[in-house]
Amino acid sequence: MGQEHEHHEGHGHGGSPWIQHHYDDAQHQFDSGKLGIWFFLVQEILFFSALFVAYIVYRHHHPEIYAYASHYLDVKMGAINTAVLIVSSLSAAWAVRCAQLNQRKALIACLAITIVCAFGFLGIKYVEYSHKIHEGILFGKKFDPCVASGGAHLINKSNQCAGVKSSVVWDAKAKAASKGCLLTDWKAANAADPRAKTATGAIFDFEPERRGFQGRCEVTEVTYNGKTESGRRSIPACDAGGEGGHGEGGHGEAKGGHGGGHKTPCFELQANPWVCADRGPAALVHYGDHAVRGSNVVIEATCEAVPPAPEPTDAFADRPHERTTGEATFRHVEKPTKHELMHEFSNGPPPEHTNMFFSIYFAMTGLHGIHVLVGIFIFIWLLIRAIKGHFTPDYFGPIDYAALYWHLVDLIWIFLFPLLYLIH
Amino acid sequence: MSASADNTKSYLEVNPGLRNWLWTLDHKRIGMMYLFGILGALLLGGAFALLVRIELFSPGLTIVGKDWYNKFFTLHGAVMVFLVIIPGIPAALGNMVLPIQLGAPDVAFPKLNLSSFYLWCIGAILLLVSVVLGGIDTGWTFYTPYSLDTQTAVIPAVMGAFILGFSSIFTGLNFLVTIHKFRPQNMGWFQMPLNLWALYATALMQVLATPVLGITLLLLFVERFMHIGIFDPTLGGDPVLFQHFFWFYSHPAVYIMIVPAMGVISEMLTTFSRKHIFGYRFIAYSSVALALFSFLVWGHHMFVSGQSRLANMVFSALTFSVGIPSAIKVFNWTSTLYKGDIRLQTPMLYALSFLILFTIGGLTGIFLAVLSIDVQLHDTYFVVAHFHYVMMGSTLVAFLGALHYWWPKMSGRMYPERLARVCSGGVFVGFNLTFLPQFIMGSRGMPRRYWDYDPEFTIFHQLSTIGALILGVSLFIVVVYLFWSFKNGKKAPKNPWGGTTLEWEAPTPPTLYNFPEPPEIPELYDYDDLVEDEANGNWIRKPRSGAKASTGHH
Amino acid sequence: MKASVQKSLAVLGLVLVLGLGGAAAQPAAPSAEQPPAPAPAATDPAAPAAPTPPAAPTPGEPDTKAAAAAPATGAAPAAEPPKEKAWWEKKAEEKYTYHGNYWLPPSASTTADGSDTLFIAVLAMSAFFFFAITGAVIYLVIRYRHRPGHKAEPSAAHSDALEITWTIIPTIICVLLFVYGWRSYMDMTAIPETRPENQIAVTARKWSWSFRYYNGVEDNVLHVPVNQPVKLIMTSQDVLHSFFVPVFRQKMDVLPRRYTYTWFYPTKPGVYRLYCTEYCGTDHSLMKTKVVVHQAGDYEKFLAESFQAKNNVSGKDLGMLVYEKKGCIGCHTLDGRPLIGPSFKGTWDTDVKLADGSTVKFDATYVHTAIVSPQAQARPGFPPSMPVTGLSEKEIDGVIELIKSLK
Repeated sequence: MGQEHEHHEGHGHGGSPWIQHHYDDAQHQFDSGKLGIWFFLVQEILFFSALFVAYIVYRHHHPEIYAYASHYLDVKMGAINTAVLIVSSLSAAWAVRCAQLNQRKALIACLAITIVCAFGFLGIKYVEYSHKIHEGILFGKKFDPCVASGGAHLINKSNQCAGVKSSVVWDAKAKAASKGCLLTDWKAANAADPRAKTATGAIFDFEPERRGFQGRCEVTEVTYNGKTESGRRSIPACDAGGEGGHGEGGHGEAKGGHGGGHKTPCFELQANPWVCADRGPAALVHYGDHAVRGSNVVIEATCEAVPPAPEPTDAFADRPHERTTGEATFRHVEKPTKHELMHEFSNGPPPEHTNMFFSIYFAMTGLHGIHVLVGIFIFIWLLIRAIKGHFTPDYFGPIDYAALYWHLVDLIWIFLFPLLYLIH
Repeated sequence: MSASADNTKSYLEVNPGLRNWLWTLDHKRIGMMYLFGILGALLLGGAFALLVRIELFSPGLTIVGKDWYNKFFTLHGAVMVFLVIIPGIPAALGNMVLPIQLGAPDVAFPKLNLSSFYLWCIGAILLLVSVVLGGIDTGWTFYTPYSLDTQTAVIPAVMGAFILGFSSIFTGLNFLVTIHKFRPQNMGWFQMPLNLWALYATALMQVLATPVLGITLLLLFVERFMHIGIFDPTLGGDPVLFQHFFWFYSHPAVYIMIVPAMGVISEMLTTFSRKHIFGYRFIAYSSVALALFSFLVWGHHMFVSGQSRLANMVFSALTFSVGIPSAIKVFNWTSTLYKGDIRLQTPMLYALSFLILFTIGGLTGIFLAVLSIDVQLHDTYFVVAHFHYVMMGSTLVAFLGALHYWWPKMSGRMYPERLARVCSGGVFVGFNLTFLPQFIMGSRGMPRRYWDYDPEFTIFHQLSTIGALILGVSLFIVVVYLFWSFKNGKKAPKNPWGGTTLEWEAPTPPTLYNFPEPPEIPELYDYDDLVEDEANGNWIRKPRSGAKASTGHH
Repeated sequence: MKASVQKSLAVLGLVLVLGLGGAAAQPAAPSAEQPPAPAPAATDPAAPAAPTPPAAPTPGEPDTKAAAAAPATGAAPAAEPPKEKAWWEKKAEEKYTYHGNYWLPPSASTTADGSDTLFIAVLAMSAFFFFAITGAVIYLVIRYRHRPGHKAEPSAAHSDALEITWTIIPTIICVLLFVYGWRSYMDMTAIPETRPENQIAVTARKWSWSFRYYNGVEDNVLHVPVNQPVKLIMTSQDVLHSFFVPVFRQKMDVLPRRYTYTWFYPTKPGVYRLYCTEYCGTDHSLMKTKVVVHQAGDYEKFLAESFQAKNNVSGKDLGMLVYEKKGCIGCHTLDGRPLIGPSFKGTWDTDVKLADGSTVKFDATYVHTAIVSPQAQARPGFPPSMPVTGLSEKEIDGVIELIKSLK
């Protein structure tokens, strides 16, 4: 430490030994520090600003992504975090007051509460993040979720919905269904395709050009991980109407639990035309367990044709359409409201580049979390100094400044929470 | 302000030893350390530039391979922008001079000041690490998606620039608080030297704009490292968004470069004309106006990026508005010369060069602000010439002038005047020879960042390379004689130029505690009280009655 | 006069002399033909050698494509004569001459004229202010230089009248420049009605251009008709590029996964240069091609005959066409030298080691996958920069035939 500005005990500044020499007095130091921390906070706001701008830009251009993906987030956890941070802001502000009034014990208590709350915040964040990592709901290329935003299971890995590494892979060319249907091990049929190595799942695509489930099938034999199960009783059926997903999101039904209660994977065919909007109809094999993914699965089923589904319609088919010819009979047209549109979006299908929502989500909450972590270190340092008795009514600047910083961190979360969690 | 018993030794001599320097909290020592680093980085960036120019002496590949050429122009840009020009005047000279000019004992946060310096060092080391690991070839602008794909050492470079950003932010924050809180009672805002106005405006921009660079580089880092997708179009991101974020900082950044230059030019012009600066208030206001307007015009770097025509229109209009304050300053500076008593010592030669070169730089900016002309000139050598005229011909020239101006005060020694004048001429000639031909090349269609070019551009490239060599040699000699003069220069008097600002009242070199006694604030830019002592090359202040001593701060 | 003042004047004089001397030396001098850009020279065995001196100590850097392409036909089986060039390909190799004025290239489109007038206006204004200010500075410095006994005279320290004047006048000038600039910009960017035949799809990739015409033909020279508006729809396959034709004064960035548009109305037949002006990597400097402005009637002839030529081509010839026109030539040679990508020669039916350690046979499936999913079979020693090229199945078959023929 430079000898030039050492601390001398009681060197003419009166009171606290922490007043630095180049200041006239304690008030001068406090005022300067206060101005300094305000400038610092302004630049912190600008630091986050680009992320808010990115949020606005992407949301403006792709509202469907936000409508769909926001249901992956757990509002409850977010709300608890908000409350925790607000409490910690209160305790930080109270700490300043305690320092001003020379209440050392209360000061220590308040600082401790702030730190505990901050840890609580990070703890809940840990829970949220670990859940997402577990389910593959990450950013960018790593967006590979096991569940749809409503909680329904998806089959994982390399799919044909560009930008979204979730949901079903692709169709193997199956013959059209009539009576009984052809089993296809698509992996063998597509062995030349490099994606076959890592793909999991299978689709029996009866009529790729038409939407709607084309056949009713019953699984008769399943081979996976090298063993074969056959016969209706042996093949584990999934619970019909099980609980939704893994606790994230509450919309929509989910078929089957996440291996809950099942040691072995379960197989059932289900129609899920929502998964890849442009992929046409498909019967999916539903894997109920992560363990099966990545292995070669062969499924045999008997199917019978059902009448083809009605022509695919757009989502608003039940609304009266505007007439486009020049006739005089116009009816009042109800265009879907934004609210209804967003509701449609939120049901799926997963839009292309759903991963972008999570890129923004992790960037914003991650940066915020880093600031919380830094705040924890700062408050621990303050706690140690408070215990050592450094702070007096004359000198409590560091607590004031740290509390200001903490209020900003809280404020940023108060913006993040509705933008990410509460939007439709 | 304490008057230590032993305040007779200068800041250079007191508490000697490497440890005392490395842990110093004294703003003058920190400024001197910055100066060493920045001059070193100047030579490094200049070496990259010479490699680029020598390669371009004839078409096709000559001395370096394609990828190396791309790395050299990238590194030239990155080193010069982030290590030399942005810190430049504020860090090296501002740190040295600001508290003394203000009459303050130090900056508001000396420890933060030292951290700023160390952050600069860490940033510099990271950039060097990236050079050692093979360099970067993205262009200093790091445009996506190329910067996401390239296999070069982008990550250490981006980390280095990120850390350098924080160095800049903390310096700015420090200066802002110092100017607000450490001005003496009898120095109001309009009694401050214009240099301080300029540093204040610069500090505002540093604090407000640099965090946006920080987050941009952080996102770029995360994008490269973890493929987060925000700028990568294959994952749904938007590469043009990167450009918006980048230029939102980088346009104010160029004002961070030029505004302190304008501040030191104001000081030098008035001192060497021996008269009050013309239009003090307008110059002060226009510094702040530049600082604020600079945030509004970033889109003029993106006129052909595919952004909407409406955006282009708005940015073009705003860009014209940001040119007006600079024009006002040039007219005010020129008027300062009127009826003065002009002495052409080295700092004044640089200041006059600045006037001419900044005029060219500013006027060529007008070409680029006109939308239809910019469509033709964007990403050609015209732009290269324009920004070198403002960044080098103006900022660096002002930096050199100010360095010579305050060198006697900082080091206690005089630099060799005749050699310095010759070098200033060499800089002027070399600079113009390098960059004037580039305007013509650019308007004829020569694109930037090309290592190969069509034969009709050859003569321009050759003139440019010759000029660059003259320029490089001159700059190198300047750095050498400055270091030489530390030991061997003539001892400097207290006020060799007859300046009226407060730093000339301090000892030469200043003592550790800036002023042994609280100084009386001289009348700003009032040269009547100074008498020249020609024998010693010094100016002496006649004592005035009713002296004003500083008592406390605002 | 003081020595330092003399020096400054001499310096200024030197600069002016050099500037003017440069002007005198550069009237519309016709320039030599530069080595042709990638493709049209591919089948020309007489292509001039690359300008690099052979002893250049570049670390194994490959030469320009002209040299790479030149042996292309030489490497083909000796029995085949070089393919006869189409008349439009020969036209693209015509000499490019520079007949512009001192500052600007020749103007070959209506979009150029508007911005040129403005350029000259701004140049004149700038010259005026530059000489005025420089002149004032020099005059004042000489007039008020210090000499023994000379003192500064009292003078006003500010003048609101002057300040207002020299704020208002530049503001007016700026407003005028903005308005005219904006108007001519609108002309440059408001795309008029263009016939479908005059709409060309532009694809940029590292490091070549390709243009797809109305008739489906792809070429890497831009052919346009004179005296008709031409619209370009542009996209990139990888990173940012920028389309720039100096004689049209038109420029627009080309973005990946988005379309940008530009247009021009060519007024002078001839052959002009086209550059990429957004830095895009190693061979950014080589990403040049030509614009051929056809005389009246020739453009339609080009469309008709190139369509015929394309349909008549299949197999190995189609493969060669694809190789030259669709950018393969930028990174792959036909004579065994590795460039950024491996050479095609002698690879058919060999075993290829992949980056993940496995070995595959270099057969049709391998080639097919390499073209459709380039990153799926990363090979050690080559950077992962091959873009997805969007070749049709027929074109892929052609490339396979081409590679087969080189074994």
